[in-house]
Amino acid sequence: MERIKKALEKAKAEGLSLNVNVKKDIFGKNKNSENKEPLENIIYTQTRRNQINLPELSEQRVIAAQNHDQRATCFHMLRTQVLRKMRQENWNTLAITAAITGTGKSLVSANLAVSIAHEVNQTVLLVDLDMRHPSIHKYFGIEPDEGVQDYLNKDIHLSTVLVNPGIERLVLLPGKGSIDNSSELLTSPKMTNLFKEIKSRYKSRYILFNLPPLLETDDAIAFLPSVECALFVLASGKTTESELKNALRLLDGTNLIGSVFNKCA
Amino acid sequence: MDINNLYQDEKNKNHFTLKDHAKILWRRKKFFLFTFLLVLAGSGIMALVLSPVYQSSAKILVESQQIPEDLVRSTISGFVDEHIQVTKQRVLTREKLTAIIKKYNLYSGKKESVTASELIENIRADINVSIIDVNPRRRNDTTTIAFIVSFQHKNPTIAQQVTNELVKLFLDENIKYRLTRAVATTNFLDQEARKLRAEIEITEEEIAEYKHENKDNLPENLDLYLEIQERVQRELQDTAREINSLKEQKSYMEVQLSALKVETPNINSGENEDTPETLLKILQNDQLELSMQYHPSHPDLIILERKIADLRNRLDTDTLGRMLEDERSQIETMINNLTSKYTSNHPDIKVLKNRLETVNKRLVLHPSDFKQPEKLNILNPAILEVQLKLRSIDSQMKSLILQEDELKEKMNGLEQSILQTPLVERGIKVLMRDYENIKERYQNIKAKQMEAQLSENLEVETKAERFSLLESPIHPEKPIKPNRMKILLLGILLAFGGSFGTVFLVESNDERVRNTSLVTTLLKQAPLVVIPYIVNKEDHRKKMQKVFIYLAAIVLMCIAVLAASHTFYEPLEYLWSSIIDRVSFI
Repeated sequence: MERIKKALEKAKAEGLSLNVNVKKDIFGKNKNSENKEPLENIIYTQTRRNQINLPELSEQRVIAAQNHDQRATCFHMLRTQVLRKMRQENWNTLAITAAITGTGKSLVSANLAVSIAHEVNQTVLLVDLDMRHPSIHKYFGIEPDEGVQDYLNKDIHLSTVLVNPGIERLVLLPGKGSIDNSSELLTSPKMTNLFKEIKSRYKSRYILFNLPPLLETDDAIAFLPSVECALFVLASGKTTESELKNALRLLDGTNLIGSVFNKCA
Repeated sequence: MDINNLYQDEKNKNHFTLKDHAKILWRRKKFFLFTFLLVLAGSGIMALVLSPVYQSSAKILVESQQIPEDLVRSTISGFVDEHIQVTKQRVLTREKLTAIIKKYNLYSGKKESVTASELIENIRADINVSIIDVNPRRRNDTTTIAFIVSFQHKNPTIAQQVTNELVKLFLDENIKYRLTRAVATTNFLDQEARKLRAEIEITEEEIAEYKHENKDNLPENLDLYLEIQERVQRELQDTAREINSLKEQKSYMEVQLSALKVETPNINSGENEDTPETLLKILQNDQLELSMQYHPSHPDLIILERKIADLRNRLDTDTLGRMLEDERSQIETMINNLTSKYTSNHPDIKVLKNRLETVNKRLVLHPSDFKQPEKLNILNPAILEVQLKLRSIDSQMKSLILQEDELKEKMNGLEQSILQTPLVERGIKVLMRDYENIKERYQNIKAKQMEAQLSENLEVETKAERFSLLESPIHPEKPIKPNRMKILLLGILLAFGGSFGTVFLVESNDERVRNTSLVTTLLKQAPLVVIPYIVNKEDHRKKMQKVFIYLAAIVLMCIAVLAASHTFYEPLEYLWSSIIDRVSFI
């Protein structure tokens, strides 16, 4: 408590003179301060907090949090494989993308994030970078006041955008509304700063970026070079062969950890 | 990675398991069901809706000839099949078929829009003539013993009636056809026989004429002629012998006469110094001179002629002959002399030539052995007797000689005839040959005509091969068409085929990825995880909703179909009963 209070005071003191994307981390702590507190008991002071509602989550198909749900196992398996690779390479940013819409990419991201957060070793930040059809918040039953687009366009504090959906160790950076110049926004200096900031803030935090479909816009291709690795989602009966091939071609150069075969009947 | 490579190999085989097929089918269940039901419904409707067609058939037996063929042969040749076909063609003519169509008002529904030829086609299609073959074990070929005539129509009664008509037509036409042919044969042969008869008569006439022309030289008379010739020969010989004997007698008589003459002197001999011979000579000279001076009609010449003729009569033939010859030579010398002086046109020469001619004539007519009868010597009875005997012998000889001449003539005639006979014989033979020829042909035709007549009678009595009704057409109880069961089964088969086909089409059209093979190949690694479709309560609810809607829709459709058929087609009760009828075959 003490430390936090101190940090807050410091922040207040330093806050107004500098730009947002430089100094503070999203938790309002100093950049260089180490967080040694065990992550099991994180208390979010800056981020908004929602009450968890597991049945509602299940209804939204976010089942990874369910302990007794068999379906959660595949997400856990995904999580384990992904984390293994990322730990091996010392990566902590992961982009999740797909070829086309309707493959359940957002759902996979949500479930994966939940699954990662379920492990006590790390925290997760799930960023919804689908500027045109942001859907992550829906899965968590959240209606955000501001989204990433607002943060990048306007001059607001990040803490107003971040939200905790009621699951321990999981924070959401949702999107809101739909904009057209998404790819430009994603490559703007503000975004780059944000990216740098959130990536380096906590060592034991994994950041999942939910990118729009590869073949829909160039957002994903634009953003992918910044991210360390990626995950490709395809759905049975949705993606065509040619779409698959094209998408994978676009992913050439990215560290693709693997693919996820979704909606398998 | 090795494990990944395993996956790769496995997936690359890309074989479809039954499970995959089932998955596909389930995925495309809508298409499958829709097509299936559509085709099934279609065939079901067809199976129910198609109006029944009844067929009535009659069996006609082809009886072979009752009378054995060796005894009487029929003029109608050919196999039974041929006869059936011919009769069939005769029955199924436009005329007869149109009559049947009119009588029973067949195809009444279509008559306006359809041409007459199409109606004929229709009825021809509905009529069926099938031949029942029997395969006797002894031979390899089949024998026809009966055939079936049938007719199809939606009304069973009409089907029976029309079949009856057809049967009648068949039987009638067959008889007509056979009879016509038999009669034609007989007529033809009659004609031929008549023609030949005429020819025969002509030839007979020719022969009669020929015989008449050569009646003298007929070969049948040859023997007769030979006989006659023999007889004539004998007669000739007899006559010749008689003449010879008479000649002998005459010469004997003459010898007697001359002997007698020598004994008795000739009283009449001193009458004239000038023997009649010398007197004739003088007179002839006078005549000659006078003829050179005067015209032959000069009275002096005429008197002279008379005197000369008289003298000649008195002289005997030899002397006359001699005198004539002397005269002739005299005239000839005179002509010669004169021609050296004058031309042949000189009147003197002409006169001489005339005399020469007369002399020659006289010489010719004067047979040397035809003696002038000697003047009778009345004074001497012995001489008279001999002279009279001579005279009778002469006259006998004359007649005999005449007879001989006659006989000789006859002989010549006979010889001629006999010589000509072989020629005539040959001529007759030629004619007879032709005659025999024609006669033979005529006999032939006559025999055939008889046979044909027999055959005709056979046909008239219908004792030859004939059609007889074996089974008359019955009123059909059950329709032969449509085979509802077959249609339904076929429909089911088609439905399956069609729906599978549709599913296949749709599936092959779909490019979408449904398994991990492609991504495994492309990434050289299998997906990290395969996530099934996550269902939530909402999904479940929706599914229930869908099922409910489908069921409701089906029920509604059935009701609608029933309502529609009730109003537009048939009241449900009747429909139900007819369905029961049609379904009862199961």
